[in-house]
This record gives sequence, C-alpha cells and structure tokens, in this order.
Amino acid sequence: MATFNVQVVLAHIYRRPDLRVSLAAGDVSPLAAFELTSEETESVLSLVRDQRSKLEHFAEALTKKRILRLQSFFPLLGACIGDKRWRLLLDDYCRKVPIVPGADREDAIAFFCHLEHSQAFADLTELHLRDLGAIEAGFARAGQPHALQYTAENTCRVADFSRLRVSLDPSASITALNHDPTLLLEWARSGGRSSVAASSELVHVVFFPARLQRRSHLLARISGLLARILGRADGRSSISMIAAEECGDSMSPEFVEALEGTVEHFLDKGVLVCMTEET
Amino acid sequence: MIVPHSALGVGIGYRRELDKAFTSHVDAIDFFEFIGDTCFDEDVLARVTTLSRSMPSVCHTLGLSLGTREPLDRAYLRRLARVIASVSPRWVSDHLAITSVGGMQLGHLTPVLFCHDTVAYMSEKVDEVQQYLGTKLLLENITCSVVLPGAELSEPEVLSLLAAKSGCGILLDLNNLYINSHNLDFDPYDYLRSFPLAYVDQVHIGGAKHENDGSLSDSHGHPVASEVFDYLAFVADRRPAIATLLERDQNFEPIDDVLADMHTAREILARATTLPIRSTSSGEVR
Repeated sequence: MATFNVQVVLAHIYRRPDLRVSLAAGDVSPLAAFELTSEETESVLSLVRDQRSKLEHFAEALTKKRILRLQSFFPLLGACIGDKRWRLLLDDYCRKVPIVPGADREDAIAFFCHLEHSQAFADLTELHLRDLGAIEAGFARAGQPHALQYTAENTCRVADFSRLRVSLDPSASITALNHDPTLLLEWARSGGRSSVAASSELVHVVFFPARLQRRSHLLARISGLLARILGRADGRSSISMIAAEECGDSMSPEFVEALEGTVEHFLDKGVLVCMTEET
Repeated sequence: MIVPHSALGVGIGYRRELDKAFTSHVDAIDFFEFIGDTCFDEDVLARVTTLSRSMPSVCHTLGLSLGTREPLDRAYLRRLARVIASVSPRWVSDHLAITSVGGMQLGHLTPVLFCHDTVAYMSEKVDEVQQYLGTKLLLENITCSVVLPGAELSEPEVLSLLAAKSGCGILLDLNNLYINSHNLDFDPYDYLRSFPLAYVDQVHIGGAKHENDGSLSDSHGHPVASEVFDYLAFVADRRPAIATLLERDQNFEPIDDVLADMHTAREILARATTLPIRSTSSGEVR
C-alpha cells in the first residue's frame, strides 16, 4: 500500500464515488490502468470492502472541506442563492470537476466558470445573481484581500436583500474598489449615479441608488449611521452628503430595517458593502 | 534527564481576521504560527514579516506532501524558502500525510501507510526539506477515519523512527488525537504513553465539531474540548513548557472565547510539574 501506484489509486478512490461503488461490488476492471500487483489489488479491495462507511465518511470530509473553501470566495452569492440551491450547485461542481491543481483561488475561479455554463445557474430566475457571482469571482481573480474578508457569519443579513430584490451594481463596486475614501465622498457629493459614503479605516463603501436618494426620511436615518462610520474613521461627527428632501414617499419598513441592520453589521466586520436596489 | 524544550509559550495561528487581536491582546500571545502557503501572497507575507519582528513565529505548511512516494515539488520548495528567508520562523511544520500525488491535488490531508518502507522514503524527503530550507522540520499527526491495511507500525512508531532517522521534530496535534480516538475508538492515553514525546517541539490544540452521525471533525472553530486540555496536561507534565498553539480558523468572535482557551492552556503549562523523565532510545518519554 506504500507504492506510488497504490497512492494514485487511493487518491482516485477518495475522490470518485463511482470507483468506490465498482470496487465494493468486486469489479476490479477500473484498476487495470494502474498496474497494481495482485497483492496490491487485494489490499485496495479489502480497504473498500472492510471500511466502506469510513471511506465514504472520509470522502465526504474531503468534499466538505473543498466546499468550505469555495464558499469563502462566494459568501454573498451563496447567501442570496440560499443554502439548498447553493449546496446543489457546489456538489454538482465537486462531483464533475476534480480539484484544480494549485491554490484555492484557482478552484474558485474554475467553479464560477463551471457555474456560468451550467443549466442550473441558467435556470435561476434572479438575474442579478449572475452579477453578484461575477463580482465575487472578480474578487477571487484579483485576490482582493478586503473582499476575501467576507465570511458566512457576516453575510447572513444579505439574504434579506435577496428577498427584497436588491442586487449589487457591478460597475459601481468595481470602480470604487481601491479608491481613496475621500474621492468616494466627493463622488457622492457630486450627485453621481449613486450616493457613496466611505471610511478610511478599511474599505467601507455603501452605495445607494439614485431612486433611494429621494427618500429623505430613510436617508436621514441612514445618515446617522454613516456619520458614525466616518466619525470612527477620521473624527468627523456628521456628514452633509445626503440632502434632506421630503418627498412623502416611503420605503417598506422591512427594507429600511434590513438596510440599516446590514450597514451596521458589515461595517462592524470591516468589510465592503455595495448595494443597489434592483429596478 | 530533563528534556530540553523551546519555551515559546502559548501562541495562536495568524489569520487575517485576528489582525486586531494581535494588536489589542498582544500580551496574551507569546508566539504565532503562520501558514507558509498563504504567504505566497505578497500582502500576507509583508504582514507576517512585520508581525515576526514583534514576537517569535513558527511556520506551518500544507503542500509539501511528504508522504507521497515521488520527488518533492521543487517550485513549491523555492517559494517556501523565500518565505522562510523573509520571516525567519523557529521551525517549519507539515504533516505525516499525502496532499498531492501524480499531479492530483487532493485538497486535504490523506493518510500514509504506517510501515518501514514509508519511513525510509519519507525520511529522505524530510532530510531534503531541512537541508533546502536550512531549518528544522516538524511532522504532525493528522485526522483520518480510514486505516490503511497492511500497517507494520503504529503512528507513534512511524513518527519516532522518522525523527530518529532524519533529525526532524514532531508537532503533536492533540485535537487530532481527540478526534481520531473518538472516531476510531481507541484509548488516547495508550497513544500518548507510547508517543515519542522527547521529539515533540510543539503541540496544537483546537476545537472539534460534533457531526450529526456522532463523529467528530476538526472544525478549528469551536472551543477546545476539556479532553484536549487533559491531554495537554499529560504532555506538559512530561514535556514541560511545550510550545502550545491554538488553531482557530473560524468563529473568531467573541475574541474573549479564543483568549480563554489560550489562558487555560497557559494555566496548564504553568501547573505542569517536571516529573522525572526517562527517555528511551525510541524517543518515548515515560
């Protein structure tokens, strides 16, 4: 069991459920290509036969670890897609694609390529999820360290937004990454397409779509949060970037609550937040 | 004889999420362990290098695949050597395991066969790594629910022979012992009593997760089990002030929980008595 050929066979056994099924049934034909001695073949068979459940448990552990690593690159996408569908997509990838040689990042990029071409992903009705996945795959490609600070824990509230049809704005978020916070603030003041607030502590960015800017009562509440953000970062205690303009229109209470909660939650974690209401 | 030790104290694995803790709780951290593979990223290497100027460090790697019966990946070694040169850790550790074979990346630690043949080829690879990196290499026991048939030796015997033959040290992962003894149903103290503690330079402690099927897995995200602390006390009584490192890869908050585990480990090390130690030729300490 210590020869190179046996080690290769074991690697295949750990990764391929079909091979485990064949060998458990006594079918040794899949081993022909590996040039094992009869003694080695018998040893491999005894492993599969005598420790089948342990072997399945171990193989499952391998997949779980891989999935955990993949999830760390796509926390927002995973949260928005939902646990059940997300797990199916990950399982499908891990079953069809052997782990990519090299670092986890390459595996994550390959996963999104696989996802983009899969029927399951094409069947998703929430089109903004494609943008979300593209952004996170972009983070993986760029090795953007701040983006990689997302964790399952600090993205839990994003699920609220998936129900409220809120998606990320790819152009805005990508443009904003690595910009100096003061430039982002100027951008916001200039009345650009989104209102933006940022702190210089890490990269805290909050985007609000133009439509949202008209909801002054909401923005007044949010501005309090933003003031705290900026105050914490550079000593400023208030901001005037969001103009108060009563319009009488109101957002749903659920949206307001989710927005406020998410801003607080993400900022406490020191991560990037980019949001645009889907129109 | 009193077995010499490194006296590094109690440390924690560096993770980006723990950056603040390294500033705000620096008094609670005696040393840190960094993952060599993550330092192939220049930003991480710069951060770890800076940190290493303020406290001792040790390097842990995942990709040497010392158990594979094929030559070392020279490109990987070269990248690792650059990291070592920049950070200057006390030692480097990797696993008694296979992580890649024949160009296949397994993405996980998989077991080696415990036999004399394995000891022979692995000791050559260990020696080559130590020569190339110019630093001591430690081998760590892994978790695995599968026992490869055809074993001639026990895991402690394999590690003992490898240490004696190549001059490497051992990183004893007490959480892995806890998990394996539970999943494979053996007495952890029998294991510890047969373990070559004289070669142990470092121990890992960490949290395990109770899975739905009754098994344990190494989550590195839960509080350290009391059993693991009991093992640490057992080891510390026989190998005083052993470098003890908490592995934490998730659930970093509240940080007080993480610090509490380190505090408990520190108390155990402080309480440890120096028992009369007899080291056998195989490195076993009684």
